[in-house]
Amino acid sequence: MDIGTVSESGVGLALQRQLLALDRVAGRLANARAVMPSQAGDGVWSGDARRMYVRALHQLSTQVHAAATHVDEAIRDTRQALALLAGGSRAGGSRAGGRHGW
Amino acid sequence: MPGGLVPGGVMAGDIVIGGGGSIAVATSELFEDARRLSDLRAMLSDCHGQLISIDRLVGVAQLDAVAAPSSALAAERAMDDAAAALARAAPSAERLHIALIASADAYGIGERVAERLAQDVAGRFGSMLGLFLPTIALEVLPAVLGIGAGAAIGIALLPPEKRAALFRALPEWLRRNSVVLTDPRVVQLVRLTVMSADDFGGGLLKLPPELVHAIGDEGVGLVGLASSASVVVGVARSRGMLAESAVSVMRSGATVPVTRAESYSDRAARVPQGAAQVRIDRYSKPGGLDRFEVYVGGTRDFSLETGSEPWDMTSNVNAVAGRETGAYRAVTQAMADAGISSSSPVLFTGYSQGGLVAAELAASGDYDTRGLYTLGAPAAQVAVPSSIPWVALEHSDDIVPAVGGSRASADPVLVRRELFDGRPVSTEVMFPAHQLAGYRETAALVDASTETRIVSALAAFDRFGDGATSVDSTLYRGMRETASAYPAPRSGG
Repeated sequence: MDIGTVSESGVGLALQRQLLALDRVAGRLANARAVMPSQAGDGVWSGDARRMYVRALHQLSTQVHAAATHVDEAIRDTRQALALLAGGSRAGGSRAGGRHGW
Repeated sequence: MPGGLVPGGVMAGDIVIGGGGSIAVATSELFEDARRLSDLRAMLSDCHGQLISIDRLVGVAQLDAVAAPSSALAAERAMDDAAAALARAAPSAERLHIALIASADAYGIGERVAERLAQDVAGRFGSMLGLFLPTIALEVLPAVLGIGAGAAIGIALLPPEKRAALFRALPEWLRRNSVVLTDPRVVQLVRLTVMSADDFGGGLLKLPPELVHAIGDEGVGLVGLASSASVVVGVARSRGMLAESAVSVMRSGATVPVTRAESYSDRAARVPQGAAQVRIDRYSKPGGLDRFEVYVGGTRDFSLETGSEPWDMTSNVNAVAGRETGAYRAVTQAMADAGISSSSPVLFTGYSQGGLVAAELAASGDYDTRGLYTLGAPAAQVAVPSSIPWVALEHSDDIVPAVGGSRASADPVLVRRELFDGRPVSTEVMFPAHQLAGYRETAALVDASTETRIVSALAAFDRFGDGATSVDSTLYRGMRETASAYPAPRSGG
Protein backbone atom coordinates (compact mmCIF):
# COMPACT_ATOMS: atom_id res chain seq x y z
CA MET A 1 0.00 0.00 0.00
CA ASP A 2 1.49 3.33 -1.07
CA ILE A 3 0.89 5.89 1.63
CA GLY A 4 3.52 8.35 0.42
CA THR A 5 6.65 9.40 2.27
CA VAL A 6 7.15 11.84 5.10
CA SER A 7 9.36 14.03 3.07
CA GLU A 8 6.77 14.26 0.28
CA SER A 9 3.55 14.77 2.12
CA GLY A 10 4.48 15.79 5.60
CA VAL A 11 4.16 13.94 8.90
CA GLY A 12 0.47 14.73 9.35
CA LEU A 13 -0.53 13.50 5.94
CA ALA A 14 1.61 10.37 6.30
CA LEU A 15 0.06 9.62 9.69
CA GLN A 16 -3.44 10.16 8.24
CA ARG A 17 -2.69 7.59 5.57
CA GLN A 18 -1.11 5.30 8.12
CA LEU A 19 -4.28 5.52 10.22
CA LEU A 20 -6.47 4.63 7.26
CA ALA A 21 -4.20 1.71 6.39
CA LEU A 22 -4.16 0.51 9.99
CA ASP A 23 -7.96 0.69 10.11
CA ARG A 24 -8.09 -1.58 7.10
CA VAL A 25 -5.63 -3.99 8.71
CA ALA A 26 -7.72 -4.00 11.89
CA GLY A 27 -10.84 -4.80 9.89
CA ARG A 28 -9.03 -7.58 8.05
CA LEU A 29 -7.79 -9.00 11.35
CA ALA A 30 -11.32 -8.93 12.75
CA ASN A 31 -12.41 -10.96 9.70
CA ALA A 32 -9.47 -13.31 10.26
CA ARG A 33 -10.51 -13.88 13.86
CA ALA A 34 -14.05 -14.61 12.67
CA VAL A 35 -12.83 -17.43 10.39
CA MET A 36 -10.76 -19.09 13.13
CA PRO A 37 -11.91 -22.71 13.54
CA SER A 38 -13.78 -23.58 16.72
CA GLN A 39 -11.30 -24.25 19.47
CA ALA A 40 -13.39 -27.21 20.62
CA GLY A 41 -12.03 -29.30 17.74
CA ASP A 42 -15.39 -31.09 17.46
CA GLY A 43 -15.63 -33.79 14.82
CA VAL A 44 -12.00 -33.39 13.84
CA TRP A 45 -9.84 -35.39 16.18
CA SER A 46 -10.00 -37.64 19.17
CA GLY A 47 -7.75 -38.41 22.12
CA ASP A 48 -4.23 -36.95 22.29
CA ALA A 49 -4.38 -35.64 18.73
CA ARG A 50 -7.46 -33.59 19.61
CA ARG A 51 -5.72 -32.13 22.69
CA MET A 52 -2.69 -31.20 20.58
CA TYR A 53 -4.89 -29.71 17.87
CA VAL A 54 -6.90 -27.69 20.37
CA ARG A 55 -3.66 -26.46 22.00
CA ALA A 56 -2.25 -25.44 18.60
CA LEU A 57 -5.50 -23.61 17.79
CA HIS A 58 -5.32 -21.84 21.13
CA GLN A 59 -1.75 -20.72 20.44
CA LEU A 60 -2.74 -19.50 17.00
CA SER A 61 -5.67 -17.63 18.47
CA THR A 62 -3.35 -16.01 21.04
CA GLN A 63 -0.97 -14.91 18.29
CA VAL A 64 -3.78 -13.43 16.20
CA HIS A 65 -5.24 -11.74 19.27
CA ALA A 66 -1.82 -10.26 20.10
CA ALA A 67 -1.46 -8.94 16.55
CA ALA A 68 -4.92 -7.36 16.72
CA THR A 69 -4.12 -5.77 20.09
CA HIS A 70 -0.89 -4.28 18.72
CA VAL A 71 -2.68 -2.92 15.68
CA ASP A 72 -5.30 -1.33 17.96
CA GLU A 73 -2.45 0.24 19.96
CA ALA A 74 -0.88 1.54 16.75
CA ILE A 75 -4.22 3.07 15.73
CA ARG A 76 -4.64 4.69 19.14
CA ASP A 77 -1.08 6.05 19.10
CA THR A 78 -1.40 7.31 15.55
CA ARG A 79 -4.65 9.08 16.47
CA GLN A 80 -2.93 10.62 19.48
CA ALA A 81 -0.02 11.78 17.34
CA LEU A 82 -2.40 13.32 14.84
CA ALA A 83 -4.30 15.05 17.62
CA LEU A 84 -1.09 16.46 18.99
CA LEU A 85 -0.01 17.65 15.58
CA ALA A 86 -3.41 19.21 14.99
CA GLY A 87 -3.24 20.96 18.36
CA GLY A 88 0.17 22.35 17.54
CA SER A 89 1.52 21.15 20.83
CA ARG A 90 3.90 18.36 21.48
CA ALA A 91 4.06 18.86 25.21
CA GLY A 92 1.80 15.94 26.06
CA GLY A 93 3.42 13.78 23.49
CA SER A 94 7.04 14.50 24.15
CA ARG A 95 9.28 11.55 23.87
CA ALA A 96 9.90 11.70 27.59
CA GLY A 97 6.14 11.45 28.16
CA GLY A 98 5.39 8.86 25.51
CA ARG A 99 3.33 5.84 26.45
CA HIS A 100 6.26 3.56 25.88
CA GLY A 101 8.34 5.60 28.34
CA TRP A 102 10.85 6.84 25.82
CA MET B 1 -8.48 -45.29 17.58
CA PRO B 2 -6.87 -43.03 20.21
CA GLY B 3 -4.98 -40.10 18.90
CA GLY B 4 -6.35 -40.28 15.40
CA LEU B 5 -9.28 -39.49 13.21
CA VAL B 6 -12.39 -41.43 14.01
CA PRO B 7 -14.77 -41.20 11.05
CA GLY B 8 -16.44 -44.35 12.34
CA GLY B 9 -16.99 -42.77 15.72
CA VAL B 10 -17.59 -39.14 15.14
CA MET B 11 -20.44 -37.28 16.81
CA ALA B 12 -23.98 -37.96 15.72
CA GLY B 13 -24.68 -35.70 12.80
CA ASP B 14 -21.13 -35.72 11.54
CA ILE B 15 -20.65 -36.64 7.93
CA VAL B 16 -17.48 -38.21 6.56
CA ILE B 17 -16.48 -37.29 3.04
CA GLY B 18 -14.22 -39.23 0.69
CA GLY B 19 -13.74 -40.29 -2.92
CA GLY B 20 -14.39 -38.18 -5.98
CA GLY B 21 -10.86 -38.60 -7.29
CA SER B 22 -9.21 -37.65 -4.01
CA ILE B 23 -7.61 -39.91 -1.45
CA ALA B 24 -8.65 -37.58 1.39
CA VAL B 25 -11.27 -38.97 3.79
CA ALA B 26 -12.40 -37.04 6.83
CA THR B 27 -15.31 -35.41 8.57
CA SER B 28 -16.98 -32.39 7.09
CA GLU B 29 -15.79 -30.47 10.16
CA LEU B 30 -12.16 -31.33 9.44
CA PHE B 31 -12.42 -30.13 5.85
CA GLU B 32 -14.21 -27.01 7.08
CA ASP B 33 -11.44 -26.33 9.62
CA ALA B 34 -8.80 -26.90 6.91
CA ARG B 35 -10.55 -24.42 4.63
CA ARG B 36 -10.82 -21.87 7.42
CA LEU B 37 -7.15 -22.26 8.29
CA SER B 38 -6.20 -21.79 4.65
CA ASP B 39 -8.30 -18.60 4.47
CA LEU B 40 -6.87 -17.48 7.80
CA ARG B 41 -3.28 -17.97 6.62
CA ALA B 42 -3.98 -15.89 3.50
CA MET B 43 -5.59 -13.11 5.55
CA LEU B 44 -2.79 -13.06 8.12
CA SER B 45 -0.12 -12.98 5.40
CA ASP B 46 -1.98 -10.12 3.73
CA CYS B 47 -2.16 -8.19 7.04
CA HIS B 48 1.53 -8.83 7.64
CA GLY B 49 2.38 -7.54 4.16
CA GLN B 50 0.30 -4.39 4.69
CA LEU B 51 1.94 -3.68 8.04
CA ILE B 52 5.42 -4.10 6.53
CA SER B 53 4.42 -1.76 3.74
CA ILE B 54 3.17 0.91 6.18
CA ASP B 55 6.19 0.50 8.41
CA ARG B 56 8.63 0.79 5.53
CA LEU B 57 7.25 4.09 4.33
CA VAL B 58 6.91 5.80 7.71
CA GLY B 59 9.98 4.69 9.61
CA VAL B 60 11.40 5.69 12.98
CA ALA B 61 14.35 7.48 11.37
CA GLN B 62 12.02 9.62 9.30
CA LEU B 63 9.89 10.49 12.31
CA ASP B 64 13.02 11.34 14.25
CA ALA B 65 14.14 13.59 11.44
CA VAL B 66 10.96 15.67 11.64
CA ALA B 67 10.68 15.45 15.46
CA ALA B 68 7.32 13.73 15.32
CA PRO B 69 5.32 13.17 18.55
CA SER B 70 6.41 10.25 20.68
CA SER B 71 3.02 8.62 20.15
CA ALA B 72 3.88 8.37 16.46
CA LEU B 73 6.98 6.44 17.44
CA ALA B 74 4.89 4.30 19.82
CA ALA B 75 2.63 3.50 16.89
CA GLU B 76 5.68 2.38 14.95
CA ARG B 77 6.68 0.08 17.80
CA ALA B 78 3.15 -1.33 18.05
CA MET B 79 3.12 -2.00 14.31
CA ASP B 80 6.46 -3.80 14.61
CA ASP B 81 5.01 -5.95 17.41
CA ALA B 82 1.88 -6.67 15.36
CA ALA B 83 3.98 -7.64 12.35
CA ALA B 84 6.10 -9.94 14.52
CA ALA B 85 2.96 -11.63 15.92
CA LEU B 86 1.58 -12.06 12.41
CA ALA B 87 4.92 -13.43 11.20
CA ARG B 88 4.44 -16.21 13.75
CA ALA B 89 0.69 -16.68 13.27
CA ALA B 90 0.56 -17.07 9.48
CA PRO B 91 2.97 -20.04 9.38
CA SER B 92 1.16 -21.56 12.38
CA ALA B 93 -2.11 -21.46 10.43
CA GLU B 94 -0.34 -22.91 7.40
CA ARG B 95 1.15 -25.77 9.44
CA LEU B 96 -2.22 -26.62 10.97
CA HIS B 97 -3.88 -26.53 7.55
CA ILE B 98 -1.24 -28.89 6.13
CA ALA B 99 -1.56 -31.19 9.15
CA LEU B 100 -5.33 -31.50 8.68
CA ILE B 101 -5.09 -32.24 4.96
CA ALA B 102 -2.22 -34.68 5.54
CA SER B 103 -4.25 -36.47 8.20
CA ALA B 104 -7.24 -36.74 5.84
CA ASP B 105 -4.96 -38.15 3.12
CA ALA B 106 -3.34 -40.55 5.56
CA TYR B 107 -6.71 -41.69 6.82
CA GLY B 108 -7.97 -42.19 3.28
CA ILE B 109 -4.93 -44.27 2.35
CA GLY B 110 -5.14 -46.24 5.60
CA GLU B 111 -8.84 -46.92 5.13
CA ARG B 112 -8.31 -48.03 1.53
CA VAL B 113 -5.50 -50.38 2.54
CA ALA B 114 -7.54 -51.74 5.46
CA GLU B 115 -10.54 -52.35 3.19
CA ARG B 116 -8.43 -54.17 0.61
CA LEU B 117 -6.76 -56.22 3.31
CA ALA B 118 -10.07 -57.13 4.94
CA GLN B 119 -11.55 -58.09 1.58
CA ASP B 120 -8.44 -60.10 0.73
CA VAL B 121 -8.56 -61.97 4.04
CA ALA B 122 -12.32 -62.52 3.78
CA GLY B 123 -11.91 -63.79 0.21
CA ARG B 124 -9.17 -66.23 1.14
CA PHE B 125 -11.16 -67.36 4.16
CA GLY B 126 -14.22 -67.86 1.97
CA SER B 127 -12.20 -69.82 -0.56
CA MET B 128 -10.66 -72.09 2.09
CA LEU B 129 -14.06 -72.54 3.74
CA GLY B 130 -15.54 -73.61 0.42
CA LEU B 131 -12.58 -75.87 -0.35
CA PHE B 132 -12.60 -77.65 2.99
CA LEU B 133 -16.31 -77.41 3.66
CA PRO B 134 -16.93 -81.15 3.15
CA THR B 135 -14.15 -82.04 5.58
CA ILE B 136 -15.22 -79.38 8.03
CA ALA B 137 -18.79 -80.53 7.67
CA LEU B 138 -17.80 -84.09 8.43
CA GLU B 139 -15.51 -83.29 11.30
CA VAL B 140 -16.76 -80.17 12.96
CA LEU B 141 -20.02 -78.80 11.74
CA PRO B 142 -22.44 -81.65 11.07
CA ALA B 143 -24.96 -80.30 13.49
CA VAL B 144 -24.78 -76.72 12.24
CA LEU B 145 -24.91 -77.73 8.61
CA GLY B 146 -27.60 -80.21 9.34
CA ILE B 147 -29.72 -77.53 10.88
CA GLY B 148 -28.93 -75.11 8.05
CA ALA B 149 -29.52 -77.58 5.27
CA GLY B 150 -32.56 -78.93 7.03
CA ALA B 151 -33.97 -75.44 7.34
CA ALA B 152 -33.28 -74.66 3.68
CA ILE B 153 -34.79 -77.92 2.48
CA GLY B 154 -37.65 -77.50 4.89
CA ILE B 155 -38.42 -74.03 3.51
CA ALA B 156 -38.22 -75.31 -0.05
CA LEU B 157 -40.55 -78.22 0.73
CA LEU B 158 -43.11 -76.12 2.55
CA PRO B 159 -46.46 -75.72 0.87
CA PRO B 160 -46.60 -72.35 -0.95
CA GLU B 161 -49.01 -70.80 1.56
CA LYS B 162 -46.84 -71.75 4.54
CA ARG B 163 -43.70 -70.54 2.75
CA ALA B 164 -45.49 -67.28 2.03
CA ALA B 165 -46.41 -67.04 5.71
CA LEU B 166 -42.76 -67.56 6.61
CA PHE B 167 -41.69 -64.79 4.26
CA ARG B 168 -44.40 -62.57 5.69
CA ALA B 169 -42.89 -63.14 9.12
CA LEU B 170 -39.47 -62.06 7.87
CA PRO B 171 -40.14 -58.30 8.17
CA GLU B 172 -41.15 -58.79 11.81
CA TRP B 173 -37.92 -60.72 12.47
CA LEU B 174 -35.93 -57.96 10.78
CA ARG B 175 -37.69 -55.32 12.88
CA ARG B 176 -37.00 -57.23 16.11
CA ASN B 177 -33.33 -57.57 15.19
CA SER B 178 -32.87 -54.07 13.85
CA VAL B 179 -30.46 -53.18 16.68
CA VAL B 180 -28.01 -55.88 15.57
CA LEU B 181 -28.56 -55.25 11.88
CA THR B 182 -27.84 -51.55 12.41
CA ASP B 183 -24.44 -52.16 13.99
CA PRO B 184 -21.73 -50.76 11.65
CA ARG B 185 -19.60 -53.85 12.36
CA VAL B 186 -22.41 -56.12 11.18
CA VAL B 187 -22.84 -53.91 8.13
CA GLN B 188 -19.12 -54.24 7.33
CA LEU B 189 -19.30 -57.99 7.89
CA VAL B 190 -22.19 -58.21 5.43
CA ARG B 191 -20.18 -56.24 2.87
CA LEU B 192 -17.20 -58.57 3.24
CA THR B 193 -19.42 -61.64 3.16
CA VAL B 194 -21.14 -60.71 -0.08
CA MET B 195 -17.78 -59.81 -1.60
CA SER B 196 -16.30 -63.21 -0.67
CA ALA B 197 -19.28 -65.28 -1.85
CA ASP B 198 -17.52 -65.89 -5.18
CA ASP B 199 -14.41 -67.11 -3.34
CA PHE B 200 -16.57 -69.48 -1.31
CA GLY B 201 -18.09 -70.81 -4.53
CA GLY B 202 -14.66 -71.25 -6.08
CA GLY B 203 -13.60 -73.27 -3.06
CA LEU B 204 -16.69 -75.46 -3.33
CA LEU B 205 -15.71 -76.14 -6.94
CA LYS B 206 -12.26 -77.24 -5.69
CA LEU B 207 -10.51 -74.46 -7.57
CA PRO B 208 -7.07 -73.61 -6.16
CA PRO B 209 -7.36 -70.67 -3.71
CA GLU B 210 -4.74 -68.68 -5.64
CA LEU B 211 -6.71 -69.06 -8.87
CA VAL B 212 -9.94 -68.06 -7.14
CA HIS B 213 -8.17 -65.06 -5.69
CA ALA B 214 -6.67 -64.13 -9.06
CA ILE B 215 -9.94 -64.23 -11.00
CA GLY B 216 -12.10 -62.79 -8.20
CA ASP B 217 -12.84 -59.23 -7.02
CA GLU B 218 -9.42 -58.98 -5.41
CA GLY B 219 -7.76 -59.99 -8.69
CA VAL B 220 -8.79 -59.30 -12.26
CA GLY B 221 -12.51 -59.35 -11.40
CA LEU B 222 -13.64 -62.03 -13.88
CA VAL B 223 -16.01 -63.30 -11.25
CA GLY B 224 -17.38 -61.45 -8.29
CA LEU B 225 -20.55 -60.30 -6.60
CA ALA B 226 -22.53 -60.34 -9.86
CA SER B 227 -21.58 -63.99 -10.50
CA SER B 228 -22.55 -64.94 -6.96
CA ALA B 229 -25.88 -63.13 -7.31
CA SER B 230 -26.44 -64.89 -10.65
CA VAL B 231 -26.06 -68.24 -8.90
CA VAL B 232 -28.59 -67.13 -6.27
CA VAL B 233 -31.00 -66.04 -9.02
CA GLY B 234 -30.54 -69.37 -10.81
CA VAL B 235 -31.22 -71.41 -7.68
CA ALA B 236 -34.15 -69.21 -6.66
CA ARG B 237 -35.72 -69.42 -10.11
CA SER B 238 -35.65 -73.20 -9.87
CA ARG B 239 -37.87 -72.73 -6.80
CA GLY B 240 -40.17 -70.32 -8.61
CA MET B 241 -38.75 -67.23 -6.96
CA LEU B 242 -36.97 -64.09 -8.26
CA ALA B 243 -38.42 -64.61 -11.73
CA GLU B 244 -38.30 -61.47 -13.88
CA SER B 245 -41.27 -60.38 -15.96
CA ALA B 246 -42.42 -57.79 -18.46
CA VAL B 247 -43.53 -54.45 -17.06
CA SER B 248 -45.85 -51.66 -18.10
CA VAL B 249 -45.82 -48.04 -17.02
CA MET B 250 -48.56 -45.48 -16.64
CA ARG B 251 -48.64 -41.87 -15.62
CA SER B 252 -49.77 -41.36 -12.07
CA GLY B 253 -51.74 -38.10 -12.01
CA ALA B 254 -51.40 -34.98 -14.07
CA THR B 255 -48.19 -33.20 -15.04
CA VAL B 256 -47.80 -30.22 -12.70
CA PRO B 257 -45.57 -27.15 -12.70
CA VAL B 258 -42.81 -27.20 -10.06
CA THR B 259 -39.75 -25.19 -9.11
CA ARG B 260 -36.26 -26.28 -10.10
CA ALA B 261 -34.27 -28.44 -7.68
CA GLU B 262 -31.58 -26.47 -5.93
CA SER B 263 -29.94 -28.57 -3.22
CA TYR B 264 -29.14 -32.09 -2.08
CA SER B 265 -32.03 -32.07 0.38
CA ASP B 266 -34.42 -30.66 -2.21
CA ARG B 267 -33.58 -33.55 -4.55
CA ALA B 268 -33.87 -36.09 -1.72
CA ALA B 269 -37.33 -34.69 -0.95
CA ARG B 270 -38.42 -35.28 -4.56
CA VAL B 271 -37.75 -39.03 -4.49
CA PRO B 272 -41.22 -40.62 -4.81
CA GLN B 273 -42.45 -42.71 -1.88
CA GLY B 274 -46.07 -43.54 -2.67
CA ALA B 275 -47.50 -45.85 -5.29
CA ALA B 276 -45.58 -44.09 -8.06
CA GLN B 277 -41.92 -45.15 -8.18
CA VAL B 278 -40.59 -42.65 -10.74
CA ARG B 279 -40.74 -38.89 -10.97
CA ILE B 280 -39.52 -37.00 -14.02
CA ASP B 281 -39.05 -33.23 -13.95
CA ARG B 282 -38.68 -31.54 -17.32
CA TYR B 283 -36.67 -28.30 -17.60
CA SER B 284 -37.79 -26.38 -20.68
CA LYS B 285 -35.81 -23.62 -22.31
CA PRO B 286 -36.94 -21.77 -25.46
CA GLY B 287 -34.78 -22.81 -28.38
CA GLY B 288 -32.91 -25.42 -26.34
CA LEU B 289 -33.11 -29.12 -25.64
CA ASP B 290 -35.37 -30.10 -22.79
CA ARG B 291 -33.43 -31.35 -19.77
CA PHE B 292 -34.69 -33.92 -17.29
CA GLU B 293 -34.20 -34.80 -13.68
CA VAL B 294 -35.25 -38.40 -13.08
CA TYR B 295 -36.03 -39.51 -9.51
CA VAL B 296 -36.30 -43.23 -8.76
CA GLY B 297 -37.77 -44.55 -5.51
CA GLY B 298 -36.76 -47.51 -3.36
CA THR B 299 -37.99 -51.08 -2.92
CA ARG B 300 -41.75 -51.32 -2.35
CA ASP B 301 -42.12 -55.10 -1.92
CA PHE B 302 -39.66 -57.19 0.11
CA SER B 303 -41.21 -60.53 -0.81
CA LEU B 304 -39.01 -63.06 -2.58
CA GLU B 305 -41.89 -64.15 -4.74
CA THR B 306 -42.59 -62.05 -7.79
CA GLY B 307 -45.88 -60.15 -7.71
CA SER B 308 -47.11 -57.11 -9.56
CA GLU B 309 -44.61 -54.68 -8.02
CA PRO B 310 -41.41 -54.22 -10.09
CA TRP B 311 -39.63 -52.48 -7.18
CA ASP B 312 -39.24 -55.82 -5.38
CA MET B 313 -36.57 -58.28 -4.26
CA THR B 314 -36.63 -59.86 -7.71
CA SER B 315 -35.40 -56.59 -9.20
CA ASN B 316 -32.96 -56.11 -6.31
CA VAL B 317 -31.18 -59.46 -6.69
CA ASN B 318 -31.31 -59.46 -10.48
CA ALA B 319 -29.84 -55.95 -10.52
CA VAL B 320 -26.95 -57.01 -8.29
CA ALA B 321 -26.48 -59.96 -10.69
CA GLY B 322 -26.10 -57.45 -13.53
CA ARG B 323 -29.36 -58.46 -15.20
CA GLU B 324 -31.96 -56.14 -16.62
CA THR B 325 -34.75 -55.82 -14.08
CA GLY B 326 -38.39 -54.92 -14.13
CA ALA B 327 -37.64 -51.70 -12.28
CA TYR B 328 -34.94 -50.77 -14.82
CA ARG B 329 -37.27 -51.38 -17.74
CA ALA B 330 -40.06 -49.44 -16.03
CA VAL B 331 -37.82 -46.39 -15.65
CA THR B 332 -36.67 -46.54 -19.28
CA GLN B 333 -40.30 -46.75 -20.39
CA ALA B 334 -41.22 -43.76 -18.22
CA MET B 335 -38.26 -41.84 -19.63
CA ALA B 336 -39.34 -42.65 -23.18
CA ASP B 337 -42.87 -41.46 -22.37
CA ALA B 338 -41.44 -38.20 -21.02
CA GLY B 339 -39.63 -37.67 -24.30
CA ILE B 340 -36.13 -38.44 -23.07
CA SER B 341 -33.87 -39.53 -25.91
CA SER B 342 -30.21 -40.52 -25.98
CA SER B 343 -29.30 -36.87 -26.57
CA SER B 344 -31.43 -35.40 -23.74
CA PRO B 345 -29.33 -34.18 -20.82
CA VAL B 346 -30.40 -36.17 -17.74
CA LEU B 347 -29.61 -35.99 -14.04
CA PHE B 348 -30.48 -39.09 -12.03
CA THR B 349 -31.40 -39.24 -8.36
CA GLY B 350 -32.23 -42.56 -6.73
CA TYR B 351 -32.85 -43.98 -3.30
CA SER B 352 -32.09 -47.60 -2.34
CA GLN B 353 -33.00 -49.86 -5.28
CA GLY B 354 -33.83 -46.66 -7.17
CA GLY B 355 -30.21 -45.55 -6.67
CA LEU B 356 -28.99 -48.86 -8.08
CA VAL B 357 -31.27 -48.44 -11.10
CA ALA B 358 -30.15 -44.81 -11.49
CA ALA B 359 -26.48 -45.86 -11.40
CA GLU B 360 -27.10 -48.56 -13.98
CA LEU B 361 -28.90 -46.10 -16.24
CA ALA B 362 -25.99 -43.67 -15.88
CA ALA B 363 -23.48 -46.45 -16.60
CA SER B 364 -25.46 -47.78 -19.58
CA GLY B 365 -24.26 -45.01 -21.90
CA ASP B 366 -27.79 -44.90 -23.36
CA TYR B 367 -28.38 -41.37 -22.05
CA ASP B 368 -26.56 -38.05 -21.89
CA THR B 369 -26.09 -38.35 -18.13
CA ARG B 370 -24.92 -35.11 -16.50
CA GLY B 371 -24.98 -36.23 -12.89
CA LEU B 372 -25.89 -39.00 -10.48
CA TYR B 373 -27.03 -38.67 -6.88
CA THR B 374 -27.75 -41.83 -4.87
CA LEU B 375 -29.02 -42.31 -1.34
CA GLY B 376 -28.51 -45.65 0.43
CA ALA B 377 -28.03 -47.45 -2.87
CA PRO B 378 -26.36 -50.88 -3.17
CA ALA B 379 -24.58 -49.57 -6.26
CA ALA B 380 -20.91 -49.91 -5.32
CA GLN B 381 -20.21 -52.41 -8.09
CA VAL B 382 -21.79 -50.38 -10.90
CA ALA B 383 -19.12 -49.08 -13.28
CA VAL B 384 -20.29 -45.49 -13.60
CA PRO B 385 -17.81 -43.54 -15.76
CA SER B 386 -15.68 -41.06 -13.83
CA SER B 387 -16.80 -38.33 -16.26
CA ILE B 388 -20.24 -38.38 -14.62
CA PRO B 389 -20.34 -36.45 -11.33
CA TRP B 390 -21.67 -38.90 -8.73
CA VAL B 391 -22.48 -38.10 -5.13
CA ALA B 392 -23.39 -41.13 -3.00
CA LEU B 393 -24.86 -40.87 0.51
CA GLU B 394 -24.49 -43.97 2.67
CA HIS B 395 -25.23 -44.52 6.34
CA SER B 396 -22.47 -46.67 7.81
CA ASP B 397 -25.12 -48.44 9.92
CA ASP B 398 -27.34 -49.12 6.90
CA ILE B 399 -27.07 -52.73 5.73
CA VAL B 400 -28.59 -52.10 2.29
CA PRO B 401 -25.64 -50.33 0.59
CA ALA B 402 -23.38 -53.06 2.04
CA VAL B 403 -25.33 -55.69 0.10
CA GLY B 404 -23.95 -54.00 -3.02
CA GLY B 405 -20.43 -54.91 -1.91
CA SER B 406 -17.30 -52.77 -2.10
CA ARG B 407 -16.57 -50.17 -4.73
CA ALA B 408 -15.11 -51.52 -7.92
CA SER B 409 -14.08 -49.06 -10.61
CA ALA B 410 -16.30 -46.09 -9.81
CA ASP B 411 -15.13 -43.43 -7.39
CA PRO B 412 -18.11 -41.30 -6.34
CA VAL B 413 -17.93 -38.49 -3.85
CA LEU B 414 -18.94 -40.71 -0.96
CA VAL B 415 -20.64 -39.10 2.04
CA ARG B 416 -21.00 -41.40 5.03
CA ARG B 417 -22.78 -40.91 8.32
CA GLU B 418 -23.55 -43.19 11.23
CA LEU B 419 -27.22 -42.35 11.69
CA PHE B 420 -27.73 -43.88 15.13
CA ASP B 421 -24.26 -43.20 16.50
CA GLY B 422 -24.91 -43.88 20.19
CA ARG B 423 -28.63 -43.12 19.91
CA PRO B 424 -31.30 -45.79 20.51
CA VAL B 425 -32.10 -47.72 17.34
CA SER B 426 -35.76 -47.74 16.34
CA THR B 427 -37.47 -51.13 16.13
CA GLU B 428 -40.55 -49.64 14.49
CA VAL B 429 -39.30 -50.23 10.97
CA MET B 430 -37.32 -52.94 9.20
CA PHE B 431 -34.09 -51.14 8.36
CA PRO B 432 -34.12 -48.03 10.55
CA ALA B 433 -30.84 -46.63 9.18
CA HIS B 434 -32.13 -47.11 5.64
CA GLN B 435 -35.25 -44.97 5.93
CA LEU B 436 -35.55 -42.18 3.39
CA ALA B 437 -36.34 -39.73 6.20
CA GLY B 438 -32.87 -40.39 7.65
CA TYR B 439 -31.24 -39.86 4.28
CA ARG B 440 -33.17 -36.61 3.84
CA GLU B 441 -31.77 -35.49 7.18
CA THR B 442 -28.27 -36.42 6.03
CA ALA B 443 -28.80 -34.57 2.75
CA ALA B 444 -29.50 -31.41 4.76
CA LEU B 445 -26.15 -31.88 6.54
CA VAL B 446 -24.47 -32.30 3.17
CA ASP B 447 -26.04 -29.03 2.02
CA ALA B 448 -24.46 -27.31 5.02
CA SER B 449 -21.00 -28.65 4.20
CA THR B 450 -18.48 -26.37 2.53
CA GLU B 451 -16.17 -29.21 1.49
CA THR B 452 -14.86 -28.59 -2.02
CA ARG B 453 -16.04 -31.85 -3.65
CA ILE B 454 -19.52 -31.46 -2.19
CA VAL B 455 -19.84 -27.84 -3.24
CA SER B 456 -18.53 -28.32 -6.78
CA ALA B 457 -20.74 -31.37 -7.42
CA LEU B 458 -23.81 -29.45 -6.22
CA ALA B 459 -22.83 -26.50 -8.41
CA ALA B 460 -22.73 -28.88 -11.39
CA PHE B 461 -26.13 -30.31 -10.44
CA ASP B 462 -27.68 -26.89 -9.95
CA ARG B 463 -26.25 -25.54 -13.22
CA PHE B 464 -28.36 -28.23 -14.87
CA GLY B 465 -31.46 -26.05 -14.56
CA ASP B 466 -29.81 -22.80 -15.70
CA GLY B 467 -31.84 -20.95 -18.28
CA ALA B 468 -34.96 -23.06 -17.78
CA THR B 469 -38.09 -20.95 -18.13
CA SER B 470 -40.43 -23.63 -16.86
CA VAL B 471 -40.24 -26.92 -14.98
CA ASP B 472 -42.98 -29.53 -14.93
CA SER B 473 -43.18 -32.80 -13.09
CA THR B 474 -44.81 -36.16 -13.85
CA LEU B 475 -45.12 -39.24 -11.66
CA TYR B 476 -45.04 -42.73 -13.13
CA ARG B 477 -46.19 -46.08 -11.76
CA GLY B 478 -44.70 -49.32 -13.07
CA MET B 479 -46.44 -52.69 -12.83
CA ARG B 480 -45.29 -56.19 -13.63
CA GLU B 481 -47.24 -58.03 -16.28
CA THR B 482 -47.00 -61.78 -16.76
CA ALA B 483 -43.92 -63.85 -15.99
CA SER B 484 -41.65 -63.86 -18.99
CA ALA B 485 -38.40 -65.26 -20.21
CA TYR B 486 -35.28 -65.15 -18.11
CA PRO B 487 -33.54 -61.94 -19.15
CA ALA B 488 -30.09 -62.12 -20.61
CA PRO B 489 -27.19 -60.57 -18.66
CA ARG B 490 -26.50 -56.99 -19.65
CA SER B 491 -23.01 -56.17 -20.75
CA GLY B 492 -21.25 -53.64 -18.56
CA GLY B 493 -23.94 -53.77 -15.87
